[in-house]
Amino acid sequence: MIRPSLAALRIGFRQVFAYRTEVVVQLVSASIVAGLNGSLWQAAIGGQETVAGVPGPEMLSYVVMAWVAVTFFATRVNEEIGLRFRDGQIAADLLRPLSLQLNCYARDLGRAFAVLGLQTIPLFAMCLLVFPVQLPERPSTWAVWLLSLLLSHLANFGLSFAIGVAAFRLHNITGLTHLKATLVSIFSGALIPLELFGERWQPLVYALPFHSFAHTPASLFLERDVPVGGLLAEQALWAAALWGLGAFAWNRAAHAMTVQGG
Amino acid sequence: MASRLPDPPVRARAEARGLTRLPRSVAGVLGLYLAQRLKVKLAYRADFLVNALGDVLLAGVGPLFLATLFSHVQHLGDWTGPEVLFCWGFAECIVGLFFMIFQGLYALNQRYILGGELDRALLRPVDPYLQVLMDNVSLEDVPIFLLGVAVMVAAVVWGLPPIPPWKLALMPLYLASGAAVMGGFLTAVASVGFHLQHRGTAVGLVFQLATFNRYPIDLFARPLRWLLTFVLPLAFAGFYPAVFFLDRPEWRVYALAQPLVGVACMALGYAAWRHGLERYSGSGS
Amino acid sequence: MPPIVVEQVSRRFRTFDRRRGILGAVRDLFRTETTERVAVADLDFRIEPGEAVALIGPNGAGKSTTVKMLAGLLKPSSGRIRVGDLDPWADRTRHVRGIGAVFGQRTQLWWDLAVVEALDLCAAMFGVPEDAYRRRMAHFEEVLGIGPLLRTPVRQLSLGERMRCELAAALLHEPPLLFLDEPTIGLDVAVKLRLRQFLAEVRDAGRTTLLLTTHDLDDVAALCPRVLLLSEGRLLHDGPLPALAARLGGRRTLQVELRAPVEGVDLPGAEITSPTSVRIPVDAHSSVPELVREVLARLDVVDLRIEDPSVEELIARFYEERRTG
Repeated sequence: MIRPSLAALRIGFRQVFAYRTEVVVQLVSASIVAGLNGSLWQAAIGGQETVAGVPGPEMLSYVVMAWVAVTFFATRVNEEIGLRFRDGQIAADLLRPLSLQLNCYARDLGRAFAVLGLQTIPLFAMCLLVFPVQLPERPSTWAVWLLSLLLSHLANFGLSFAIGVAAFRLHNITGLTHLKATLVSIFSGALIPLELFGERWQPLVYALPFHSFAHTPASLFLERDVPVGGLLAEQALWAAALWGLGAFAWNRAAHAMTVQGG
Repeated sequence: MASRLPDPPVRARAEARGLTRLPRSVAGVLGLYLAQRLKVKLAYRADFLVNALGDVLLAGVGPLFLATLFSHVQHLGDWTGPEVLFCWGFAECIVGLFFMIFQGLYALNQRYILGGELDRALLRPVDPYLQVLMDNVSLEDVPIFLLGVAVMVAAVVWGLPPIPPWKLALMPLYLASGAAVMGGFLTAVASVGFHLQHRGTAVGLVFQLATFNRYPIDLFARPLRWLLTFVLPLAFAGFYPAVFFLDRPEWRVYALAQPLVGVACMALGYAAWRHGLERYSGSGS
Repeated sequence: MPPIVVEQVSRRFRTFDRRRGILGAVRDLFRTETTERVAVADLDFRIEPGEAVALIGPNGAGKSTTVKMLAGLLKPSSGRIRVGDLDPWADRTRHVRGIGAVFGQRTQLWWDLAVVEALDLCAAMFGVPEDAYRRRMAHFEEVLGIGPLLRTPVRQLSLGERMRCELAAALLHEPPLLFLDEPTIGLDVAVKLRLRQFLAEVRDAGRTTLLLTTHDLDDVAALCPRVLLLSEGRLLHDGPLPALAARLGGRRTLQVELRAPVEGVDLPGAEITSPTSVRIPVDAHSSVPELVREVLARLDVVDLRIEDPSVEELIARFYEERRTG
């Protein structure tokens, strides 16, 4: 299982380099969004000391880091899997030595590593130049942050994979994909800092998995007064749960395909 | 933005009726074209609604962000919440209009040039540019336009100083001219496709850059402001027409220049189109 | 109806060569290397109003380039084309009002519209007056049988049905010039015959000039007294189809059936095609009666007949030579 996984990892990594222009385009695009959000927030903080209880400079750093997290964990797995179902190629995947989910994850992880070097870090560096981002004081925070990003990626993968597999039943998953994108936009903290939602919405926000995608890595990076171990564990739990969801969906689909010839 | 529709429901067959009177003028032909496309789109009601809902939800995150922001913050730079929201809504309307009208240009290279549909269009005595646009009028983007309208109305209700009726009467002009700025730009870029290929990404990026125009432009760094005003006048596709309706005399110059910029962009775009078309049939490839 | 005049028309294409490797790609950005391909060279012909002309030739001969230039879609690299007073390319909009076009492999209609809606649009775009529109629609319903098809979306038509609708669309504005590009391709025999009959009637009505591009020589034989043969961009033949056969080296042959197999036949040019058949070219001998006398004298003949050269075979051979030669 190790060797095929590593092979898939390498493939995913190398594929990013094959589409160089797309990498650059995405980097530029992400920078534009970062610039836009950062500028807006700078203007918003302008007169005030705190926004929704968070000190101005910290809020700005939060917004930047939350977006950086999004660019890392974002994936197209749902589209790719959906496409395989539509093309019929999915039948071949049943015969592979490695489970489809593991295979896809390894590839996407490889892709994420490439993205880390080619997009995330350059984006981060550019943001540092333009905005006063608060850097961690403790060296261990960097490691914690990276781990948190990996867990975000894993969790998002699980959900995306499950959505992709839903193509088996739904044939057209664009609605579902839109819905997920909307929920992630709203509840991950990337576009709207979760503190802005006010007291009433906090239970809902923290019941959903999305906050762990961007809000958690950003909070950890900013060394907020939060239980590090607890948050990481929460991320891991969500990642496991979403992975399980994907595995369950895939099992059902695979079963239906082999038994019914679906 | 789907380009190929699945098979139509049986209903479409029964509803086709011949005309009782043929239009005589160009406007009449355009109207007929549009009516035909509308009929087709309406036959796919279910799909249409689902996609529309999805698009609106995603787009709605923007105003949601602004609303939550302004429950904690009073001003964004020099601007009040209602003003910022109004600008956002106005820009969204322009984007909706733009996609409704100019969607066809995205298919120019693939369908029309490589796929040979441009030749077909050239065999008809109607301007091929108009044919490309009319063939692809996109109803799917009407909800985006409506979202923009809703947000503008919400801004007015929330606390915008009242807009004088004479200005309101000019709103269609300003919306159209904003869409013309984007349309002219896209036309110019698409026309390069007559003899080149991969500019799609460039367009996407530029329009991404254009998202800055949904907010008051003085919130951003000066170089960016300059870029979006004088180099790629995309600020004229969002903020500048919007600010005309706000009570902000310091921006009046830009607001008055708006219609001219719209016409200029469209004219330049169309000129690029004509040039590209001539080269297409002139030197060929 | 305007005459079509083509004077010394050539059309060259520049193709961009891509250089190899990354360095090549960079160099490509600055200065492109091009090769020039001659699609059509020194075409010269004149088509009178009301004529029915076929344009044939192997693939790549320049047929579609020629048709595109006549339609105004391409500008000639040199030479002059006039359709009436108009230059098809420079006066495209006006010129196109006088053209109807039918493409076998592409539609001039709109996929997702119903037939009647598409025809309405065509009529509107070409400025067909209402009473004329009604009249012609009635005519097409009767002659082309498109009545029951009117409410069907174009995409759901069978090929034969679609071609009938295309013809209606092309003739709706009564164009003096009708271009037909492979109109019968893929159609079954019955439909082909009906279409040919319709086109023959259009031709005989004398109000339309027909230009037919095709690989189907039965179409040509049935519809076009005049054939233009293009090959490698040049006009090789301009005249009737039988004359073309002669030019391509068609020979009449005497086909002889024997009672018993023979091993050799001592006659010039004789070819044994099967144990009991012999084929002898006629022109290798002084006259037909003499040849027949010789054959009857030397061989034990059961049956004999004179065969005229098959145009199909000749042209097929001609195309083949062009392809491989």
